[in-house]
Amino acid sequence: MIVLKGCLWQPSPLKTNYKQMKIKIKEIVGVLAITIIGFSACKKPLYETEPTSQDITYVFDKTDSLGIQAKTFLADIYSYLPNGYNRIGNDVLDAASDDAISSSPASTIEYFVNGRISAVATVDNSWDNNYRTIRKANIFLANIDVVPLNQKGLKVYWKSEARILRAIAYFELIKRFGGVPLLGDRVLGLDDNIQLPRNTYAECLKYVVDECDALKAIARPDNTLAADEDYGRVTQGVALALKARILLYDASPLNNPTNDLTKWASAAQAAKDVMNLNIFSLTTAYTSVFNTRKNSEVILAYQRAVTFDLETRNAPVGYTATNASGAGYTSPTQELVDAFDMSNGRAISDPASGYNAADPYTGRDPRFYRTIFHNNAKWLNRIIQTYDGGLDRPGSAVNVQTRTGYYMRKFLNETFESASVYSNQTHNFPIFRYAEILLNYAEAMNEAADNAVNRTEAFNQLKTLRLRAGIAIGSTVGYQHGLKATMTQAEMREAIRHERRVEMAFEEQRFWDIRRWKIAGTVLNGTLHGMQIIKNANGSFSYTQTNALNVSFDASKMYRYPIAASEVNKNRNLTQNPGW
Amino acid sequence: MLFSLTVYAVCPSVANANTIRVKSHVTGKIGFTKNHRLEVTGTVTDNFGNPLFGVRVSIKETGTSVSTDKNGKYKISAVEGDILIFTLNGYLVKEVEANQALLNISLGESQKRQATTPVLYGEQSVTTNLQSTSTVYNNDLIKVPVAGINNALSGRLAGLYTLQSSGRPGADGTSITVRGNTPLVLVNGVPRDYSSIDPEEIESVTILKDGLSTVMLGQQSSNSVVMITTRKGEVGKQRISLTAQAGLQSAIKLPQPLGAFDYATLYNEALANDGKAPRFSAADLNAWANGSDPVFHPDVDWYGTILKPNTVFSRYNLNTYGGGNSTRYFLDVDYLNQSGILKQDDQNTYSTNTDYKRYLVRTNIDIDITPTTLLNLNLFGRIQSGNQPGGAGANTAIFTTGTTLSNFGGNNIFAQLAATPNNAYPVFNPNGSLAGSSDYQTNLWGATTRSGYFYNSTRDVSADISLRKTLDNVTKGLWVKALASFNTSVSENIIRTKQYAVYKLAGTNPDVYQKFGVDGQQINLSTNSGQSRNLFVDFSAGLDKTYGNHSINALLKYNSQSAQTANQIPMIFSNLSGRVDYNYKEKYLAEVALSYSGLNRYEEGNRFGFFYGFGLGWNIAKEDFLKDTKWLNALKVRANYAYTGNANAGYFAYKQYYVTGASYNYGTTPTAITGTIEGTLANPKITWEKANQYNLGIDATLFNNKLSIAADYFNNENFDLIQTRGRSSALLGTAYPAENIGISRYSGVEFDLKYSNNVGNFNYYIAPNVFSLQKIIQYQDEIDRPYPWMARTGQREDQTFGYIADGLFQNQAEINAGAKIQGYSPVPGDIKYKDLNNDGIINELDIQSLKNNNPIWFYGLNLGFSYKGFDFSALLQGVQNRYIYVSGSTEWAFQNNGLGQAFEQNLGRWTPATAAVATQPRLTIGSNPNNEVTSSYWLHDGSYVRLKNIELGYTLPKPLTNKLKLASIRFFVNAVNAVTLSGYDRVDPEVYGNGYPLQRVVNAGLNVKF
Repeated sequence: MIVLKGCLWQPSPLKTNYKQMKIKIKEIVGVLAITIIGFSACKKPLYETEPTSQDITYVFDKTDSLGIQAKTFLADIYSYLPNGYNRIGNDVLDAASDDAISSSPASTIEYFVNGRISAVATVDNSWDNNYRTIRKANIFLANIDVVPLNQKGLKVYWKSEARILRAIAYFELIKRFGGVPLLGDRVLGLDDNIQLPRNTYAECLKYVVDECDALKAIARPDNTLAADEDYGRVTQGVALALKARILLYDASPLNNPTNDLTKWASAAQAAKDVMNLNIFSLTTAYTSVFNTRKNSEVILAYQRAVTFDLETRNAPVGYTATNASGAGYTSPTQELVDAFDMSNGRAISDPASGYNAADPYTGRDPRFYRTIFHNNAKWLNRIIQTYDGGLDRPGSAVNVQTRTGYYMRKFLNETFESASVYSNQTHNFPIFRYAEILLNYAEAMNEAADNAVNRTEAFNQLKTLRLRAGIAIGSTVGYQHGLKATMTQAEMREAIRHERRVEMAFEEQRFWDIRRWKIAGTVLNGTLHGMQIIKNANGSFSYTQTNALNVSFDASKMYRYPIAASEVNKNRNLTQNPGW
Repeated sequence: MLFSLTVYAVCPSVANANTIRVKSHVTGKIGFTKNHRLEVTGTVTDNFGNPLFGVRVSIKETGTSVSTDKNGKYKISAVEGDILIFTLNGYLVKEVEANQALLNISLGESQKRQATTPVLYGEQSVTTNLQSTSTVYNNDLIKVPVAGINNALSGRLAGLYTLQSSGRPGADGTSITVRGNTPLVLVNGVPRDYSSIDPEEIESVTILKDGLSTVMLGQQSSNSVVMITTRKGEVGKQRISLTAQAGLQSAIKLPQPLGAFDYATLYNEALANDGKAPRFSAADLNAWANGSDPVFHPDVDWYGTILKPNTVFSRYNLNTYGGGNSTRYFLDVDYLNQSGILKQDDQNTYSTNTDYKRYLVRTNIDIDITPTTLLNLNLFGRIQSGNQPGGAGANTAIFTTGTTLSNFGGNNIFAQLAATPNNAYPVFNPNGSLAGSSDYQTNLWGATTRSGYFYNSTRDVSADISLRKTLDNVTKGLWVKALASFNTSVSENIIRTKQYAVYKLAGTNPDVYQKFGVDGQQINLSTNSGQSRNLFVDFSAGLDKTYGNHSINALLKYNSQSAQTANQIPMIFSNLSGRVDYNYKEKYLAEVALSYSGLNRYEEGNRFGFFYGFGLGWNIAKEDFLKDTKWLNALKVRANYAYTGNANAGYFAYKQYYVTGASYNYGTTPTAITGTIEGTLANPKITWEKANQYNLGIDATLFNNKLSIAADYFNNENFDLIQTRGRSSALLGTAYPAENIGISRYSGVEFDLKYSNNVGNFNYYIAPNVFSLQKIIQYQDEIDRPYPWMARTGQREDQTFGYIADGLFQNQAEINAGAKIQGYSPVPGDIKYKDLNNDGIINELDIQSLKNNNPIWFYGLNLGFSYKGFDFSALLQGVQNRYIYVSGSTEWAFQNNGLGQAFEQNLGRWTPATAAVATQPRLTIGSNPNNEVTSSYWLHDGSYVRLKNIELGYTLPKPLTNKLKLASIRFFVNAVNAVTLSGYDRVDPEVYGNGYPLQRVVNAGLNVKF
């Protein structure tokens, strides 16, 4: 009688329950119970009667001296780190900046620039996911102590990892929403008060900065990360890089309306702290930042499996063969293309640059060719045709295809330029890399004080980056790497912003930069452009700049995201951001 | 004169018949009364030739009557020409003229009107029953040529509603609800998950509707019960019944796509509306208009290309029963074959159709081991197999993405049909290869015939064994019974799918093709796609006793059900229950039922609940003051209440589990570490849902039992309903568990009427039923909603919310005057919405409840007659106050970024010229954020009435069948879904959108009895 082995009719529950019943029932139950207990002879059941192998003692196991199970709990938290590739629908976040637009006319990313975004129609709403990360980190911190790890110091490292991941989650919330509810180490339960109000922006900033400060010394040092299997974990360097970025954001006009210069000084110092580790450095080749798994420049990258999904999502649409196709989801704008200087470092608007509008893609900053698929470039052993009617811009009214004449090339593996099919390759998304630290430092130094000393410090960082990019110092007097050797603070600001845009295109930087600089109201109101290319009978091309997309940005409210209406409606104490 | 002559000439036989009859009658009466007295004798049998006992044989003229004896023999003294009337409860009345001394008569079975009605775990006298139940018997069920029993129940029982959302063989998708709940299915008292069962083996299907009738099921007692009782052997010689039938199935209606010319014309119009240049030139349009260029300007009717107009349905059934003094048996063997709608490629050696085949066998055996001990053994076996093409992907099927027959995936071929324009690509290229393009890489002909196949087979076996002993020696009417039942089900898939490439002719050069996709290797996989085991044990004791005027019927029961699915820990229900019926002279009735019921899915110590119900009734017709009222045969009022439960606990939801999460790739050589996450938050307090169920009813039979009426009113308050709280703030950081929160009220009325009578040999009946259902939310944990029209409380359950459409914008002035739409600039031809809060902006604050997809009124009308050898029956079924929300690629043109199809209804789009009569908003390419939001614009009246089932049969005359040494031969033709009238006539009110179309079945067959 397997059924009765289920022990539902164990004497104990029966006794306790039938006492409450009326006498007659009691008798009947009693008679029957005796019969049934006789049948069941309840010993240990043949199999588990409730699942016992998957409760918390199995994850945080008192007998697991290697922490094998606990490690998997941490791994899941890592998987919620920002992963910037084609993550919104099929679009990259920067398709909502002035750098690119979606190739699909019906994409939700366009809500950011067509005014449809609202508390109901949210895009990139990471509220839920980041609070999930925070909960998981808190569960990990609350339970990891029972695991008897026998590797000395590992527990401190792991706890630090959970805390840094949690701090990153708060940063992701703060940069979108401003102040958010801070939970500390609490793991909320069903009976807890979950109707929590928002903490102020300043409290949230302090929380993250304090965590970074607390962890920068006790987290895993970057130079001990020799063990290959641990590569990709968050380290002291990550804590410092996070602090450098959040303080830069804090010093920026959006969060620093009075332009408190001490904020810029703190931001500069935080960036300098990363540089002073003397562990990270720029890679020799620009593309190896994105295509090599372990390199000297990346401080933290989202560690992905080897794939070629980036290629199939972003390569031009004319490639259709199996394992060699492209969906062309991203259309970079003419604005971004024009931001790339010539290889001599001069802006294309500079008459001395040598730019020829009739041959616009020749002689540009080498980073241009690693960032943009342009007409007549080569991919998969074929010349790209983004001219009207070409394979990559066929022009039928229905295709998802480039709306600007360009496709995104960045992050794609350059070896496929002359391959016939794709193969699995590393495409880790850089969350923090050394080039950003240099740019952060340059920007903060330039802003912290209007003097030549600071500007020289800033200029040195730009030179380092441009040199690595392949822009020679040049011999023109008064110019280095195409930049004026002596700049005003404002000129230097523009040079730094320009360098950031080019160096870190599509790395989810520009989207936030135009917000913290409060220039989105300017660059995202009006028209974004593309290039119409006509192939002439003699094989030459004619180029005409065209309107690609009309965009609008409501500066009165859009510098912060709306909190989803569903969330505000569930929590009476949660105030919505102004204007939404 | 001329007129009457004509009539005479046209109807000579009628005239003759009348003449002769009148003549003989007159002669008998007047002239030769004494001389023509006849002693008529004979045997009355059923259709099998078995003698019928107790048939009343009466003479119409005089009323004199006798009854047949055990051997069916009768003897009556009549006058030649008298009309003899043969009546027996459950059989058709037959009138025969007494014209010879030996009259052997066979009676056909009628709609049985039984003295008892099935109730949970037993039977109850119709006179004393206090529960709300309805029953349908075998003879109605076998008329419907369908595979699933659910489809045979539609419209026959008040309170029961079926909704068939697919016509796919073997996966009919028919949902069944009783009083708004999905009922528990019991087969011979054992919980079973069977709907695919052959009707020949069923004696009756009873729905137990109110709480009193189900409360003994404890934690499974809230949701009503469908109780199937299978047939049993009967004492007598072996009776064999053989039925063969075959029919044609055809889709009731298919969506009507636009031809390529119309499509292209509208496409250009849509582009113009979007401010874009036309895609198709005048030359293109011309090529489609005259069909001159099928290669580059194809116009393919895809529905006609891959779907057959007719498919075959066939079923063969053999059943036999009989028994001697100690053993009785029933054996049923059934085979059903329903072929699919897809066309086939002769080059394939295998079927790629959506065929369904089913083999069933059942044996029920009763053995009297001793005079007081009855052993009963029921065995049931079923093999079902279904097939489908592989579809487009490497390891997919055209309807499923991997598991069982009933699973509809997004891969559904009908979704692809609805998404492929006629001009997308030709079927084949000039070189014979499959055509396609970069936008359409799934050639539909390839998907149905070149993608291999996916075969599913499910095997079920069940066995019930029971032993019943009467203990009359202890006290009269006492019995005990033990039952054990086991069933097991295994399902496996055989996957032989493959990929195919499609080609596009690149230019006019006939040799240059662009290839899309790959010609892949065939997958050869066999997977176990599901298994379950179910063990049920039951011990019961009963007492049926009368002390003078007091009658008591008591039942005490313990049962336990252990249900295991795949590798889950079994779900174990344990149930101690009892019931006592009492009546005083059958006048004053009372019933009490109790259950102490537990489930192992709740936390230890909180697993058992106590459920109870009671009822009272009064048989008014039995009172002395009504005893002499001839026209009133029975009149009973009854009222009952029950506190019931519904276990809906999820899988050990009281306990916190940790489950597989996302993986992460650390390391310079990436190695995925599979993550672990906290599962859905545990809710240790989770408990069963509860209900207070009230039922009031009246049963009456009038006019010599010719008219019977049952009326019920029910009002059920369901509480502690499992819901997720509304204030589920994401700050918690994890998914909220189900909690016992909601309160809903289900209420309605039910009327069942039946009138049967005969005019001579014309036996007829008419049985309408009407019922209503309202499911209202009394409480749920609502989020903050600023306006009353946004509230869910007080609305119906499953309520859709949307904007209220206010026609189409006709001009810019109207747009300027109207409320602004958030993030959208409307143009004339767009849908205008009501600004409910008058804030000048159309946004989420203007969303209110829309009309509901669930009907409020339901009805069925069953009628039929038999005359001589002919019998006829028809069933009408319908619903009222139902609305269909249409959306998606079958409703809107050019979906999927403009790749989609367009349909007939899109011709009714708004244009400046047709502004006044437009039935659809202006056309746009891809999705339109204004016109395609959920709104009342897309609601259609979904009320319908169907001629659900119709049957005509003819039984050969007895003398003829006797010559053939057979008991009876009956021919029949019947149909399912014969005619449908609906407010929504675009496709079908039940299967719309892109479902497998509902089938009309026209069927003919032959039944032979030995």
